[in-house]
Amino acid sequence: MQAATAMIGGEGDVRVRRGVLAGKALPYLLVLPVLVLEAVLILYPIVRGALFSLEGPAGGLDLDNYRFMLADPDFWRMLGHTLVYTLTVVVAILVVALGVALLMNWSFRGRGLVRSILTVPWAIPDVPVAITFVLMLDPTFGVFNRLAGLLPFIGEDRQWLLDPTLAMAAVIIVTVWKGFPFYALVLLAALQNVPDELYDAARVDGAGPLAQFRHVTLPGVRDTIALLAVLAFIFSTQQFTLIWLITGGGPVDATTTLAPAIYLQAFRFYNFGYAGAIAVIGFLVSALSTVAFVVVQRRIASEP
Amino acid sequence: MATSEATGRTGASRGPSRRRFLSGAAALGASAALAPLAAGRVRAQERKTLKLMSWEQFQPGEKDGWNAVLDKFNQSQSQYKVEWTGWPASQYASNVVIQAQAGGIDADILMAMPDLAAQTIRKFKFAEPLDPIVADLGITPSGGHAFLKQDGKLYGLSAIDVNFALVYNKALFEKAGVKPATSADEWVETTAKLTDRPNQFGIALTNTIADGGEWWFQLQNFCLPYDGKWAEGKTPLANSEATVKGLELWKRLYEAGVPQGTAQGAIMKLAADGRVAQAFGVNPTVVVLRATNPDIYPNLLSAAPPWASRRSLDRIHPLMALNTSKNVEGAMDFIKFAMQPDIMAELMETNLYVIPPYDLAAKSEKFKAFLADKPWVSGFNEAKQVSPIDVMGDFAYVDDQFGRIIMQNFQRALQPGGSVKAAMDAAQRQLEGLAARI
Amino acid sequence: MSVAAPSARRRRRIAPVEILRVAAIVIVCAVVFFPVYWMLLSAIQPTEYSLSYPPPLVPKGFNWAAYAQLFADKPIGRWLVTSIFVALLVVAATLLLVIPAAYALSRLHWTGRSAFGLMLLFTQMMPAAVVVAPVLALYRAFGWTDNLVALALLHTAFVVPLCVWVLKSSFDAIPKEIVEAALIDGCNRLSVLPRIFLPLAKPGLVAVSVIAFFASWNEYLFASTLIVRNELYTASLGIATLMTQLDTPLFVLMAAGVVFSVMPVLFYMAIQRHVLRGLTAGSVKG
Repeated sequence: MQAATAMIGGEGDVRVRRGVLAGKALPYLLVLPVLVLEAVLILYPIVRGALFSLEGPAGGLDLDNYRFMLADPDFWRMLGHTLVYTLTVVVAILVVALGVALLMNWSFRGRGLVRSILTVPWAIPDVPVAITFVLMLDPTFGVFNRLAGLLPFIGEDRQWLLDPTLAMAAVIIVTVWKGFPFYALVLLAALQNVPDELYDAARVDGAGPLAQFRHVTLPGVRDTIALLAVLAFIFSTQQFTLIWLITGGGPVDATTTLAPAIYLQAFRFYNFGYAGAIAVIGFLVSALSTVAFVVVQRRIASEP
Repeated sequence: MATSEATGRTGASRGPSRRRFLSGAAALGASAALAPLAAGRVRAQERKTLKLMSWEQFQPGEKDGWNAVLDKFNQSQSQYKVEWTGWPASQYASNVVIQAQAGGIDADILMAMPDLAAQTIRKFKFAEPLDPIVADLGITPSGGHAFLKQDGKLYGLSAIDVNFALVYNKALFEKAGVKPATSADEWVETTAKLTDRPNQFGIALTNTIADGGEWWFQLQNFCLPYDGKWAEGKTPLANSEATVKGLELWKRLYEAGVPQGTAQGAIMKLAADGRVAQAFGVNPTVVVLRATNPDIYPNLLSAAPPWASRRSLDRIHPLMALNTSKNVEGAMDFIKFAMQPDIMAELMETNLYVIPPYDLAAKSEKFKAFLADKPWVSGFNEAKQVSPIDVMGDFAYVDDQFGRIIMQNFQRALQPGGSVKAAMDAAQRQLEGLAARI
Repeated sequence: MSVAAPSARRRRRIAPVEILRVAAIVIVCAVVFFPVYWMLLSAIQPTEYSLSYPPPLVPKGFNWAAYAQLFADKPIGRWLVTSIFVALLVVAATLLLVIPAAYALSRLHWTGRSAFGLMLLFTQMMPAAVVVAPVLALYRAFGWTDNLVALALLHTAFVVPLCVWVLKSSFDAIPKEIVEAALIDGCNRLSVLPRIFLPLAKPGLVAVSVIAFFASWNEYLFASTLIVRNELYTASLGIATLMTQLDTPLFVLMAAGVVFSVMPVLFYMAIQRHVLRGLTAGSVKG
């Protein structure tokens, strides 16, 4: 638990004053509504959902689903696909989002319009997004092949969604396209909080734009990037709709990641217990990765 | 256009305004408000509500026919009132499963796709036997009902029964000077002749895992051209000679004239635009194409599956009475009402369903006349119906999982240089693993 | 927002950098907007062009059939109003819950703080497919199915943990000197929240509001489970009714995508603009 404090801000904590509101109860009162809401509507269902994984086909409680899962080669392949998809999305989405947030943070005429344009992907529902990209990636009628034909070396007869590697690349591209505005928005808020005095001071010290970025901007948003990396990891392990509608987990099983695998087991194969077991493993992977990440991040932060 | 064809978009303007009110969106909330308008009817509050869970209320070409059935039932007696509940087809099965997992399906009558029906009967055990209805009406349910039986009892009666045939565009066939194939080799040949990529495609076959449900639905038939089976009892036969040959036929068609890698929705649009010469599809395909483009409808005809046995799969979407309902009797009453020959005949006419749940043509002159009046149904009628149980063995109850294994492996065979036999050998090994678990 | 990016203005004289910037903005906007453009294009030109090769890059003729079909067959207006209602409720409830919690997480010392922070992240980690049935069972027990306010509460519960963390990182950035000065001036631990934190964390509040709005607007799975009555359908539920058995009307769905994305973007623009003014006021005060 101590690890989590890494991302929990340290500086400038408000000291106890006095009065009723200044008592030890204050923080608990402030978080109580959130705590109750989450406990009842989210945590309780999570525990109930996890219990599905212990239900054997006969109705009794046992670990059969886990035993079966660990022996299932499909499960391990699925974990591999999940890892490739998730890590690529995390890196790509943060790079894109940071770049876009920096753009949006510049002051120029028409900035409002640019910000709105860059928010549109987030605003369009998943279903039309998936349908549009499938049409764009169509091997026969797709505009991707037309545009690729304009570039050297690629050629215009790519079977985007029929080739395992290209299909994975395609779902990653769509995920990043659809998802980056959220990360850019949060990063923009963080960039806006970097005090101007720091930039002024850096300029006085003779720092160029790159040096300013490295020594002022990045440190200013580092904690936010860390938080967003954790969130991007969690959210991309759970990406379902886009993958399902674009590739259905195929070709073969190249894009079957955690969430589509769980959906298949629960709602197509009627193996709710097995779906529950995969979900619990997914939860544990996310939880352990988050804690590990936080520990590492704390180490780096505490280095001089 | 005969009056019986006035469904879909035209149906809305034809029907009385009350039916429009009761249809789809307004049905649930408006019932109380409408009661004073419906003179002479028993007030809604005094009736028990029966919930009919289905996806049909969202189907553009079909909801009118079903609304008429509900309407007639609601007027026929004063004890019950049937109302829609449910979701569109693409999310239907998962939502029903969620309900079952959350403690029960919140409905009295359930309409289900074949796989969901089998699970409702065997896994959830929520279905009530319908044998009394069969006895009362003196009907003989079609052979496809076998998968709805357990321990000699019948748990569902077909609401929608679809089978496969060759649907083709007469105009494109005439232009190319070809006739519907009657043998596999001829089929590949005509398909190639009818293809002019990317302007025209010889045949529409769903071919991506993203449209996996539809793909398997069609692909499942391809054990039949050479009289193979997917399984017998608990023994999978995916790599048996006849089945592999059937899939090789599919692959030859795929190479000859399929829009490869194109989404099902786009393929349907191409077909509706008159750019696809034929499809191996079910009868509602015609209804959907007509809804998308009414001009194409007069050009559509059907032919029997182009192989000697003419056998194709018969997929029953049954109505079931849920034993968890507080109004099981009411649910049975409704199903019985819907199964009456004249009610069923009118539903089939309005919705262009051509495969009746039982020997309807023998019981309804009207239905007989309707079939005779529809040139495009001949191929569907010539097809010999095969129940999923006949080709799937015990795997009929894990149909989707079986299909997923076949499609994933088959997709390897579709890549350049891929071998169908090798792919099916791999599938066979996975299916043997699946057999151990059922 | 001169507070946020003064450096850009000052460096405006350097022409090459400026040109690079404009180029970067144009390229990024073009790449990001291209799929949206494709959606617009495909839904307004006759379909034979959208399904031809090579596909035309500018519309060849206009055909409003997809939009006509969308608006003729479906109660789009009611879906949109319902979605706006639910989303605004979610925004209000989220702000109400998140502001105090983020403050406690960011600035107060208390036992269990780290555990609370981690717990919030844990709520996001269980795949929805497994949580949805227990949530439905719970809502049935409460009698909360087919209830838009209850749906908004669930959406709030899903988005709050995320928003607490996002707002916390905004609060973290507020220099402690300002807070200490306020405390010396007679503020207490609670009153610094509206006086100091909220005005200075406006970008964070914008982010949180937009996240809450968009999360609710796009949510489908839980809405489809909890809302069965058609007259309570939100936009995301409505759009799903366009996909029927055997048919996915591509171009109608693309038209719907365009129509349904307008509201969230307007919300984003409105809150941006409003907050731009609010921020200037805040910085004068601070």
